[in-house]
Amino acid sequence: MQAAKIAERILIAIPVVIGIGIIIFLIMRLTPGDPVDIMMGQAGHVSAREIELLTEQWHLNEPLHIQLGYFLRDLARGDLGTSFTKGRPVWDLIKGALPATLELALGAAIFALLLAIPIGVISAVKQNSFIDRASMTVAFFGICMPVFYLGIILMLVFSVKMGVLPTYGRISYEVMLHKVTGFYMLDSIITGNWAALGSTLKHLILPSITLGFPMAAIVARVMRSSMLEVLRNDYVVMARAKGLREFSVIVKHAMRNAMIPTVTVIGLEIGMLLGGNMIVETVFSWPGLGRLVVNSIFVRDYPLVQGVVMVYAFTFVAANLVVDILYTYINPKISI
Amino acid sequence: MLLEVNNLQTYFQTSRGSIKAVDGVSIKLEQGEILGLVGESGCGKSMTLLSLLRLVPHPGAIVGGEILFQGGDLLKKSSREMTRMRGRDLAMIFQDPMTTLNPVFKVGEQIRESLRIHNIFNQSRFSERKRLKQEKERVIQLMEETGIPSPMDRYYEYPHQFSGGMQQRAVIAIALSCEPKILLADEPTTALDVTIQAQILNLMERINRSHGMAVILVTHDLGVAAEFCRRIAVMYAGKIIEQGLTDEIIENPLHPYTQGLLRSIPHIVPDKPRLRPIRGTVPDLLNLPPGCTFLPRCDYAVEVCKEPQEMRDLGNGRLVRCARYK
Ligand SMILES: Nc1ncnc2c1ncn2[C@@H]1O[C@H](COP(=O)(O)OP(=O)(O)O)[C@@H](O)[C@H]1O
Ligand SMILES: [Mg+2]
Repeated sequence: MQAAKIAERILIAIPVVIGIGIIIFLIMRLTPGDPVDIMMGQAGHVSAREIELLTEQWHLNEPLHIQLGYFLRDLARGDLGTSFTKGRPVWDLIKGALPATLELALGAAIFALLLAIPIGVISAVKQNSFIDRASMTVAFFGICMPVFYLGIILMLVFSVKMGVLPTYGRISYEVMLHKVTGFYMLDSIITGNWAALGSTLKHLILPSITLGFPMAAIVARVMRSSMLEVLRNDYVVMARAKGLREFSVIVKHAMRNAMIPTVTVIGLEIGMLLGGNMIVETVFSWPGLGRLVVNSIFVRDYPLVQGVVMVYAFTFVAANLVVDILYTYINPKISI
Repeated sequence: MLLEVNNLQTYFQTSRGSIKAVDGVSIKLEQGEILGLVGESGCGKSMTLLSLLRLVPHPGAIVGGEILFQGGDLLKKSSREMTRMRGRDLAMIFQDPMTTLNPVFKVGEQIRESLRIHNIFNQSRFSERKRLKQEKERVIQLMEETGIPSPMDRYYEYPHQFSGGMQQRAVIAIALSCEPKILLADEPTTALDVTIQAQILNLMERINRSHGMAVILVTHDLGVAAEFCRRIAVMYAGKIIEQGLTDEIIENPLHPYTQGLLRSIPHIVPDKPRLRPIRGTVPDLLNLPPGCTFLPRCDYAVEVCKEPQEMRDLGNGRLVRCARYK
């Protein structure tokens, strides 16, 4: 895909992101519950003067369209505002939480793909075998089981019963890690801190599995069905007739084609890993964007919620763009 | 004799019973000849060819017979040996070129792949770069030979950028790449326009002459077989029912089915203008009549046809499976 086309796609995405911004702005304000009330309620006794000051400072006394105007003006300047509850710039808070979310998403994606692609392929090649039936049954549960349920079960088994894996956070308190990038794995490698690396990995396992499992289930099913489709094609027979070993027939000729529909699903699912991780981050007390946004919804921290949702919207758009670019590489028939 | 197939049986085990797609087929192929395998669709032509490569799809399996080639039985070879022979000793081309080439690889690379698989340029003194260069040169040469214009550019194109006829040429180039002794062509022109059909058949004839490569040409069109083949075998419901030199079969068809096939081709027998399709339909391979499988459609059926009919050898390579000949 040429740079001009990519630029065009990005330009098209801008109104989408702004539209999402306006929607979340309105939703937040139409939700019952006033941020000042909630904050003051938590603070205990407060004077009417203080309430008035806050209301004014956060522009909550102005009409809705004026507030929206402020929001869009700030957005255009790249300013996501200041958190009501934490008093810090929203962008700083997001920057602090983003590495945790990305690291978890990466872990989940690696887990899901390493598991799902081979299982999808094997299930298709050995259709109706025990492996096929067993993995498709598990995948079925993976798709319909609530995430928090899987998370809690894993915790019960691996943390409570066996005591081998931690249940919350990104790293053990006993381990000191000098934070460079905020990506703990990267930081421990940069600083050569192997104890920290081990602890980080241990903390990543259960949340990654929990978050990645539904994705693995979906990708395995898609991979299996597109593999079954591909294996019916003459070019697979042709590849065998050329004298290619069965392994190469499957991995080179069949899989390359079966990946085409699968990549689309993977792209969408990676968007879900980044934007749909509130439950997992809450269950595992993972200090990422998901937990940040959940907590800020409870206290009606408008700017913070808006900021995180904008980041989500951006990630979705970016993930889709990456998939489209990737798509042109793996499917020669398409050139966007 | 280059290839001798004896009593080949390929069955499909299905929940409704066993389908005898290839039911005791015996054919011989001489060095450099073109043999036509003719029959209506569903009679087992493709399965016969795939059996020769031992690539019968699941749930089909070869259950009996022998395939004698180069002093050995292909059915007794290990699957490794068989893999090595595919493409190198026996190559195959398929009915629909649109689906025979892999859509995600460049056409030139797909031709080169078969050179690579069979280590055509793998002398140890060659570096990888030199080897690649030689392979590419050979691919260009093959593309030229099969009549693909501007092969230097077309090497880097994908199958969807080729027309159907060009795709089939590329498939033939793949088949030709390792100079196999036998080319199995499964209705190579059925999916193409009539004008392109003639071009492709001429190309195959030329290759047959210049490389001395034997060809089994599968077709449902007796006219095509008559034009290009030295000998013809007619297949019906999994069995060969008549075999012989092309001229003899065309001039004097013996089996009622062959006669019917000929009558349903307008231009071969101009003095008999009445076009008469064979009555009835292709039999269901799951419910074959116990005797002669053609019996329900035959105009000459007598009592003895209710028993299975053996192949009768009339001498001079002429074989027929019909009770009317002794
Ligand atoms: N996958 C399959 N499952 C069951 N039966 C099959 C399968 N493929 C082919 N057959 C049977 O084998 C017969 C011969 O098929 P084929 O060799 O493709 O016919 P032809 O090439 O002469 O048109 C078919 O009529 C069908 O009954
Ligand atoms: Mg066929």
